[in-house]
Amino acid sequence: MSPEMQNIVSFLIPAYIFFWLLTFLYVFSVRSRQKNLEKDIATLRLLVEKKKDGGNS
Amino acid sequence: MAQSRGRMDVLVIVLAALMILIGIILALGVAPTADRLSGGDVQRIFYFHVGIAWVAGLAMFVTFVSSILYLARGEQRKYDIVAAASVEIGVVFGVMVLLSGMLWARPVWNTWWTWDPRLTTTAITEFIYIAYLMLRAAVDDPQRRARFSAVYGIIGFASVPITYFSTKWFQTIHPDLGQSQGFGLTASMRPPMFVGLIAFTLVYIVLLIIRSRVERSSDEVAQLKHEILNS
Repeated sequence: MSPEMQNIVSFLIPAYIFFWLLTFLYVFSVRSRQKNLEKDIATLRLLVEKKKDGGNS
Repeated sequence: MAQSRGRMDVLVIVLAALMILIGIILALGVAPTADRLSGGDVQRIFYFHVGIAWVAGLAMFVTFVSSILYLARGEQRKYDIVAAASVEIGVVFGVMVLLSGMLWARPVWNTWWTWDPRLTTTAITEFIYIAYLMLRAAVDDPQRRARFSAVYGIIGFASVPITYFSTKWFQTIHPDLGQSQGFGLTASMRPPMFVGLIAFTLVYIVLLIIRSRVERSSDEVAQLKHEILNS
């Protein structure tokens, strides 16, 4: 393998892979935080409604 | 309203993906191969290194402006949301800037890292904004957290122009885009670089939208918890 090709394999390709890996990891972490919060919101809304119903009866 | 906002989100995501694709094709296929001193084909890292460095700086600038607006316009939560979301994106892109720079430096400078003024100021800026995130995590009271963060976001931003101008103010081996010779941009290098800048700006907008939503949802959780405790 020529030194130029070796540099491409060792540095250019890893640089692009690192970038996309980090970007997707970040998007994944934000999405999972959002999903967890949406679950919490749904549970809490149910609790609020239950409390209201309990108060009315 | 929500439907049109959803359509706008999809439009920005599609545009960002399209511009990224064009940017990659231009950077890897169309842009000229640099001379051996600049790393030959490895120099193609530059096209996204500059794009992500721009986004990191832009994210911190948005935090700076949002922090000023937060303090100046009656401490409205919407400005704090943008500031918090933007810093996180800035820190993630800052890590990418350092990593991509190291991957270019190894074959060209023969070292992963050197205490060059540009590299050092970039690392300091990154740590300043990591500390911003730690500050946010450490303060429980939402209003105090937002106020402290806004002040920190304004003062901390001083490191961004210092980082940018470090190649002009200090002796450095880091390439300076403003130069007309040496590492200065040739005409054929400009289109891939500018497409990259637009593409990464769109990626930033997409990330800012989804990250801001997390902040709003966590507000809703806090609100509901408060309702339950006080009913």
